[in-house]
Amino acid sequence: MVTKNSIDETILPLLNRSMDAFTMRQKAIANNVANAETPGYQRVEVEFEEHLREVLRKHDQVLNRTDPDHLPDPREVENIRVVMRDVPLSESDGSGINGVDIDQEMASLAKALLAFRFSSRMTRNEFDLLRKAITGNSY
Amino acid sequence: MISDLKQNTSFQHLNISASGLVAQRQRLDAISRNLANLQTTRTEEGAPYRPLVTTFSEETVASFNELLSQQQLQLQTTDSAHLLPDLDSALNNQLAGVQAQVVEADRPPRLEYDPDHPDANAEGYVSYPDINVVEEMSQLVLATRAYEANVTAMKAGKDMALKALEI
Repeated sequence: MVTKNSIDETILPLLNRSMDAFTMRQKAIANNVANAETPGYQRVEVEFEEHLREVLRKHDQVLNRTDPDHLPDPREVENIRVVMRDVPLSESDGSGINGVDIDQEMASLAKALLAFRFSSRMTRNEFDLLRKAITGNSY
Repeated sequence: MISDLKQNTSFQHLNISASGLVAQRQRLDAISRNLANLQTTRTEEGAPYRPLVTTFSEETVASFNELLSQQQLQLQTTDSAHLLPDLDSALNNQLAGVQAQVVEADRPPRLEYDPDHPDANAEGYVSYPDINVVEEMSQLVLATRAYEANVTAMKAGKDMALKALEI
């Protein structure tokens, strides 16, 4: 009951999911960077935002979300998929020997890192609020 | 030791970057050897030094799903609380970084006319390894940059793990 109301039905599951996604994205980028000079290597990519958007769109009616920026029902978080996929060489516009563009990878890495920091900060804030509610004092 | 580390999947993201660092270091070693042996006309086998070339190949580990299918086991979700077999490819991903192979280049030696040289052949030609200094230097810069990029990726991974500990 406590977990259900104070954790499962807050933004925490979504944050949790997003941190999974960004960690996986860092891993994908690390692999791309390590293979920056491997001939014919297909870069890998982590899709998360598009799946999040999809879930947001699909469950418009359920929660009566009146604004497109409203977050999804936390119970739907499980349906937000985090997918790692190989990008075919024809789709990526890389260095000529493979699909990796090192500058692009570095930019994505910086983005993933910032996004992760945001999610982890938000998670901590959520837990701080809980802690305040439990102990009754703010510190 | 690297293969031991690979078993530990929770810090796998660091291993990926580590494999990149190792690969670039091996390449750097090969370049150093080439530069040091620029004028080596006689090695232990008697032939002139053969230049080293570094090639890279992607390394993969068998995914969880692959291992499962090898075991002839099929996962069935009989309860709604069961995890899905493809668990968002978290267990399914098989990234393991890169591997460098340092091989001897199949390049014929460069002949230089120098009849007084002790290693000159009957016609007075000396066989020098065919190493292009400019090319080696540009490879050196590339290796350094690639190394730095791997360090950046590793730092980001470490930073994420540390931030998660602060929650």
